[in-house]
Amino acid sequence: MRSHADRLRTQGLTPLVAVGYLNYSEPPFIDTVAECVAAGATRIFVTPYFLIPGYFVKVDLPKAVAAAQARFPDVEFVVAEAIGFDERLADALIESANGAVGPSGWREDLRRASQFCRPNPQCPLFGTAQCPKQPVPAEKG
Amino acid sequence: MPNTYNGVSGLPNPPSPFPTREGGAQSQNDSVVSETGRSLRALLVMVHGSPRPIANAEMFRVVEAVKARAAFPIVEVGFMECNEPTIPEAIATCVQQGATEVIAVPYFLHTGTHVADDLPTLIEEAMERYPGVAFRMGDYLGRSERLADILTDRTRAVLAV
Repeated sequence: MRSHADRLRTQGLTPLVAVGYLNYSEPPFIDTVAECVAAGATRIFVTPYFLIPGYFVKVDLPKAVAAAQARFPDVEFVVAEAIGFDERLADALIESANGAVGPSGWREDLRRASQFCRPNPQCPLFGTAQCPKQPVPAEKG
Repeated sequence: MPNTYNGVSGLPNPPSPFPTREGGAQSQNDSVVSETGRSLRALLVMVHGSPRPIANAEMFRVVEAVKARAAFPIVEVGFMECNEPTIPEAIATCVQQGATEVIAVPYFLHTGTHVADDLPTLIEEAMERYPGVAFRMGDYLGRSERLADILTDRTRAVLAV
């Protein structure tokens, strides 16, 4: 996600590009909005990084935007469409397949994935031995 | 129609900002060859699945677009949850069609337990079940920088409104 944000920054679409999360990842959506406003943003384009306009995009995101709007009434929020269908997803699938690797590379993400998260009871790993933030030893026996 | 396998839809391949994994399929020459001497690669698209099957509609359109490129003689979709076929069932379908190599790609935007652990476990189980078939896994969809380009377009669409 951060790599995508870096790439978006190079495209010059908006002077500021920031990432915010609706779930237990850092930083939360509202913090990101606050950061944009502090940097002087007057219009914020909210582009969902979601494959389909499902529950998160249709319910959770509007709630988050409404909360942000209430906190920053002078800021204009514009919400874009979810990813949906795009020919470039087919390109991405084929390119991924072309770079596919054998079993030794399959679990690389396991240690990399969690470096940005915070402990949250809603996370499926919370309270388990796999939680990278507050690991709880697995029960024996 | 030219072979679009390497130069996907004729688009240039920009340098990737992502770290590349060593030993990608393209750089290796160890394709498994069947007893008839023919190697047959299958693309397995691994999808999360949804209690609302309509949620998969866009994904199926993307898979149709992949099929239209004719890069893989076999293309199958397998679901982790909720929908059918399951990933093991989709792998079985690949093998029944004569696949000597199954290349699995997670149709996921983010990595997490599914991508980093559950999906590899499913593929490892398939490796034991089909010792004559080679299995590889690609990066999950969200690792592709093409996602950033799509986000740019989605943003651009509302920029002028």
